[in-house]
Amino acid sequence: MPAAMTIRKSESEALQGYIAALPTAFRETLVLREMADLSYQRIAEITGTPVGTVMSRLARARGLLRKAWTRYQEKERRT
Amino acid sequence: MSCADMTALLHGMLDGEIDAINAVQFERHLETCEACAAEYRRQQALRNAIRQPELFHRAPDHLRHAIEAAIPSPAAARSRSPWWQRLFGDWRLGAGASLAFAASLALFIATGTGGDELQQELIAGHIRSLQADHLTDVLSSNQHTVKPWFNGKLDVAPPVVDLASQGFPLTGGRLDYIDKHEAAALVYRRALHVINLFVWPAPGAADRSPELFSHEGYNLLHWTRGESTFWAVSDLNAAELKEFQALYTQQTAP
Repeated sequence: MPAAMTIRKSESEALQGYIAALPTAFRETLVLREMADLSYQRIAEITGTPVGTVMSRLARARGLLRKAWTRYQEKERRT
Repeated sequence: MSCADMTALLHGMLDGEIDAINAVQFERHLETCEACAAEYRRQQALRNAIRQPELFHRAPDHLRHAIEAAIPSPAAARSRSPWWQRLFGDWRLGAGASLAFAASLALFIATGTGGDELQQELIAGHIRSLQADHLTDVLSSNQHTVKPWFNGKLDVAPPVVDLASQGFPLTGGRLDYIDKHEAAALVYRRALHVINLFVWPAPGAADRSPELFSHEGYNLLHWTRGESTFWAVSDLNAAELKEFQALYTQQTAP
């Protein structure tokens, strides 16, 4: 049990680091979506961008995160 | 539709933001395209990882209201300051209840330093302590009252010393909960400024000289000594906070 918790902690630290490394506009959109759970429309109003931009920023943010996350998991599996 | 077109649908699907027709179209595509199906599964796994409680606390309703209140009005939209600075500013002034969480959201976006979660927690602890009646559980400038008060409440009672003659009077202490530890918080003052000194055990940790961090007007000094970790948090300037640290360390030396 403690071992599993340790792994989870390092995973979430790694993820936090990847999120922190995202360009601000991407990070802002992602955090408003995942943390504040706002709709695309609300995010568009808050950030003053069209809904289309919110969608493309989310896709870019998640694309970058997913690549970093996959690399992290592969590295973890090897070690 | 091509796989490139599917990217927008994929995220809309994850977020529940596409209509039924597009959802059906997306699901049909997944049946025939293993690459998109795999990407969708990976994105779902990533979303689960992002939403785990260790990473973010989910935003409660009051935060959503706070964010909406911080949405720029047409006049304010022309100002250059981002919306989250207003959110953070409101919180710091104490307007509205329970906005500490909003502050961590704003800090997260503003600084982009998720690794600073602990520092944000410490600042939040410091701010909480400034609210009425929450500063001290044991109100005393007498170190011989404050130190025994911690005995039995914590595994390791922190070193307590009054520094009134050096301009940093001890005003009391309380228990706090930082980074999943019970922590002692010693409260000192410097003129009108409050210094919260958080202390908790760090078994096996090597001594570390103080390191200064700054966030949105707060200074944080972190050091380790005698297998305890120390964080001093204040809106006091860095020079005086370092002076406090030096005095405290010197006078509590074994």
